[in-house]
Formats: sequence, structure tokens, C-alpha cells
Amino acid sequence: MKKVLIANRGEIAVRITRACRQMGLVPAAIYSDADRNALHVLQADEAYRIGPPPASESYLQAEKIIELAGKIGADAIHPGYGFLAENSAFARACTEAGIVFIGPNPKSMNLMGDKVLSRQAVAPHGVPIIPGTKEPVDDPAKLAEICSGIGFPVLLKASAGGGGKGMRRVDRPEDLLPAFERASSEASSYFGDGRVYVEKFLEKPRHIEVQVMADHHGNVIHLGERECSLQRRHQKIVEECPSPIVDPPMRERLGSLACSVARAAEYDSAGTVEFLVDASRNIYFLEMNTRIQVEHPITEMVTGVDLVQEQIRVAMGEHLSLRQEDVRMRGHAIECRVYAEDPFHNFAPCPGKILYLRLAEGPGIRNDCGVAEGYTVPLDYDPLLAKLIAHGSSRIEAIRRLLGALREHRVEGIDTNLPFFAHVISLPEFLEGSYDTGFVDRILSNLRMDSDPLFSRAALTLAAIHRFRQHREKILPEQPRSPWKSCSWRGR
Amino acid sequence: MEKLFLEGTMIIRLSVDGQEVAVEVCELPDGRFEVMFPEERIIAELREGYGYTQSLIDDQGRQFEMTLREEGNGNIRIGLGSEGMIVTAMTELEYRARQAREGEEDRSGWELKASLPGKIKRILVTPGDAVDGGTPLMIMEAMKMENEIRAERPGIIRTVPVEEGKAVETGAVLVTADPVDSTG
Repeated sequence: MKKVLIANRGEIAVRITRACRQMGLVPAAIYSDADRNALHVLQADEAYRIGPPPASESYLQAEKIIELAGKIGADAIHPGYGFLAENSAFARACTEAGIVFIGPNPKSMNLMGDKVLSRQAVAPHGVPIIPGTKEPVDDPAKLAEICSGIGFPVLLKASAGGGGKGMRRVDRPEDLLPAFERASSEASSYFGDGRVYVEKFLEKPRHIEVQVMADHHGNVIHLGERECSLQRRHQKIVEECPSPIVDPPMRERLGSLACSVARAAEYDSAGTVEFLVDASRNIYFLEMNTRIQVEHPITEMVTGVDLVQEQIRVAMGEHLSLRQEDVRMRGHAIECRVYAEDPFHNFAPCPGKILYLRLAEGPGIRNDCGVAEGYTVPLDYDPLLAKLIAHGSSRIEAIRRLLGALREHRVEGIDTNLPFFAHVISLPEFLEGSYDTGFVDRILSNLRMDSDPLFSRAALTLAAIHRFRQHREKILPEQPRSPWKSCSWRGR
Repeated sequence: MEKLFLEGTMIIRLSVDGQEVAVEVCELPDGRFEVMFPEERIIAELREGYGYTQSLIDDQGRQFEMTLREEGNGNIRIGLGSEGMIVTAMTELEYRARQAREGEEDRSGWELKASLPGKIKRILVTPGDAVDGGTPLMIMEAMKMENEIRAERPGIIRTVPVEEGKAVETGAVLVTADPVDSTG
């Protein structure tokens, strides 16, 4: 393998470019018109325009991308995450065109990509799944029977998609039918598929996922778990590794379950097995993500393994470079996803030009930044700008380093969710590690980001002086700035 | 209290999170500024920093590297590291003008427009509903993320001229509302 076409943009494209370069591979970037001067383009060895800004006309143009890869002599395509990363038709088309797809084989991808099929596939291998239907239900009578079997409360979910759409919690049998009708019609309008399945509703669940890595020779290892329960409207915003509630026996169990899932799927690349853990520490398989994930850096910091390089090596046909017993977890890492959003206006997205950028540095600080000063964040894609990661020898050291880094970090010109992180990470539930997936949404409904009193005082002072100077300039525009030239001062 | 000031003390009305305070600001002969809070007198020096920062050093030697951005309507977004707050700062005249304007608005209702192109995911209110500042009105998808659009002020929903599942452009009217007290 010599040349890799990176079929993505932003921070992950920068990440993959870096991995390629370190391996002596030639990184080739693609870009839409909105990303002409994007960082991932500036950092690649080759760059090719793929279309106008809308993703459907650029980064999702599977045929154009494969044709381009052939034309430029790319040996492989790395799909990153999102876009075409979990599109099995794309993976298959790459292979048929003689190009290595850096990801799992299409059959595994397909199987694990379907929520219902994946659960059916893993259950026989001793992997616990959330009690519920294995198939979608469309008969209301059958639904009522199933729900009384599982026990209320239950959760109705769309089988064609996620993100909270087509989802309804039902507490009582009498609410079941209306909830089913609403969930079904919502799923129909969002995904074009009104099928709904049922599972037990877990109280205060925690989202814990395990990183797995497999090669084409049947070797499968896990690299520990990540806790991803800090979510806003089902979007992860802070992740940590390892999970504050997982002890070594639980880690062993999670790891072994994750490997069973990967083997059941005949998996052969980097992937993540997601679990939900309830308040009694029962583990349930949720789904598998057949791609490299946004939060992979925290596992890299704790295990010392470069997951992207390993994923590329495995795609080249090599054996895994480490065995399970070689995997060590050292210290603790926490990641903040820096989004172009305004936390003071309900996280409204904020496209615009980045006027100034200063990233935190220092021991244990890592930045996976996808943007540069002068870049205009487009509104055609998701607003993830960068990831700020802090690693320490203990969880508290990682937290301290992260809070310090948040003080150093500066992004000017657009709004970011940075002010929100310092607030959340200082809350007792986070410090104790006792937060669940509903935590962020609960605090947001009542958000008061109380500032440090010294900062408040300084901010008020600055605001007052600023307004004073501004007004004075308006009424005395020609006045020289030096106070010595024209002043009359009095004592009172 | 002994006060030394250049001609031109100005009253600035500050407000944060609904808490209001009026201060007196003036410039001292040495270029520093004096800000008189009700309980405290602060003397501070302002220096240009890098990027869009200004460094404020108070008379106790404490340094604050802050960023400042006008948001319109007297609102200023101030950041310190990753902390942020929005402070409203107005001269007396601006303050009175705003009071008058808000009085007007309270009597004439409001409309909410899309600040970005996006897709309406779910509409949460119907005409006739009474809403408060902060009440969620609809869910919009923009830049691949879901956002709750909330009312900025109280009102009674008059019309919702958009449809679930449809895309809207920047500036599109999403919701119109009548003032709560329509007898005014």
C-alpha cells in the first residue's frame, strides 16, 4: 500500500493524514468547495475537489470517489467516521474496483449495522441483550402481550434508525397503543420505515463501549472500555477512559463480551461494541459501530496504541501487532468535543470564520484539531471543530489537567461549547463519576452557569469600561488618547 | 470617599442574568479606569492582548485575559479561558431607550425567525398556546444537530407558518405570537 485516499473531512481527515504520514504512506485528500482551504486539505500531499458543499454532492458521492481513487492510483480508501464509513455498498464497490477499504468486510458491516439483526446474531453467543423483541412488531395485540412479558416501563424504538427519533417511553399498558402509533408515524416520517420494536426501559443507564480490533486472520482483541454517558440530546460531548464505575472483573467481562460480539460478526477491523449498564450493573449489548470512532483518542492515550495505524495495518493484511495480554491501561483520559455551538443560546450551531485559535498545551494534553485560523466553518456539515484530550496518571489528575487546558484554549470569531465543559466537569456528579445518560439534559433544563466570582467582577468591570470608552469616543471623537494633553481634573 | 476623576464620569447600567447594577466609570490621569460599584471601587488597567483579548489588571495585581464581543442590543459576550458570560452594558440614555422599546414590544407581540437554514423536525406548540421566555417551541435540525428553538419572551402563539419535515431558509418566520396581555 502506498497511497491512501481519505474520504472524509475535518478533524478525522487530519488524524488519518497524520497516521498515513507517520507510516510513510501518501495521504490524498478530497474536499468540497466549502473546504477549499480546510486544514485537512492543507496537510495532505495531494488534494482533489470532489463537488459543491452539500454532502450529498461531495463527501457522499461514492462512485465519484472510487473513480477518483482509481485515477490517482490510490491503493486504499479510509472512510473515517460518518459519511460512507458504514455504507456496505461502498465498501463492496471499493473491493470490486481493486481498492482496499480500510474498515470491516461488507458482510460484517451489514449484519452489525442493523439493530435488530445484530441483536439476533449475538444472543446465541451468550451476549446479554436488553429484554425485548428480536423482531419489529406491527400487531398491537402482540405488542401488549410482549410488554407484559418484559414488564413496564418499556421503550418503543424505531428499528430503522436512532438518535432518539421514533422513541417513546411507556409506563402503563393503557398508554401503549397511542405511544405505538406516534412512534411508528414518527419513524415513518424520519426514516421512511415505521417499524418499531420494544425493549425494557433501563433506569439511569450508562453508555459504556469497548474498543475492539481484529485482523483478517481471525485474531480479535479488546482495548478496554470508554464511558460515554455525558450526552446532550443523544450526542456525546465528553468521553472518558476507563469508565469510573468499571472494576477489573467487570472490565474482563465487558472485554470478553465485546470479543464474542466481534467474533460472532466475523469482524476484521477496528470497531466499537456498545453496551448499556443499568443501576444494578447489569450489562446489555446495545449495538456495534463498525468504524473508527470520534472518541478513539482516549483509548490511545491510555493504552499507548495508535488505533488508526493499527486499523490501516490490519487492512494491509498484517496480523495484529499486539496480543490481548500485551494490552495495558495506564492512567485516565478525558475528551471534550469542541463544537461550533452557542451554549448561551441553547447550543444553536454557529458557522462563521475562526478569527483566532490558541490551543492548550502541556504534559498530558492532546489536541485533535480539524480547523485553523482563518477557516470559515461551513453550515453544511456537523459542527465538530476539534477534540481536547487530557491524560493523567489518575482520574483526578486528568480532570485537573483538563480544567487547566480549558482555561488556555481560545477560539474566537465563532461561538463554541467550551464554556459549558468547565461547568459540567466541575459538577459533583462528574467528579464522583456518578452521572448517567440523562444527566446533561437534566441540568440543561435548569442551566445556570454560575461564574467564578472573580471572573464575574472582572467581566462586569471590563464591560463597563468598554461601554464607557466607546461612548466617550462617540461624543469626543477627536480627543487625543493621552490624558496629559487635555484634561482637567478635580479632587472632591 | 475621596474620588479623583477626569471630567466625564459616566453611569453605565450593567446586567447579568437578570441582576442589574449601575456603576460610575471614569478615566484616571494615568490612563487607568475607575469603576465605582455600590459596594466597591475598582481601579483597573486595560492592555491589548493577542487575538481578540484584552488583559485587565486590577489594583491588587490580579490579571484577567478576557475576550470581548458585541452581540447587539447592549449585550457583550465576555470570555475568560473557556468560561463565558453575557453582560449587558448600556449608558443611561441607551438604557432608557431600551426600556421604551421593550414596552413597545410587549404591546405588539413578536415573531421568531430562523437564524440558519435547517429542517423542522417537530413542532411543539399550536396557535393559542401561552408560552413563557424559555418555552421550547420547535425542534430544528441544522448542521446535523438537533436544536430546540425556544421563545425569548412570553406570548400567546398566533401562527406557526412552517411544517414538520420541511426545510426552511435563514430568516424564515417560524412562529408569531401576540402579547400576553392583549388588552394593552
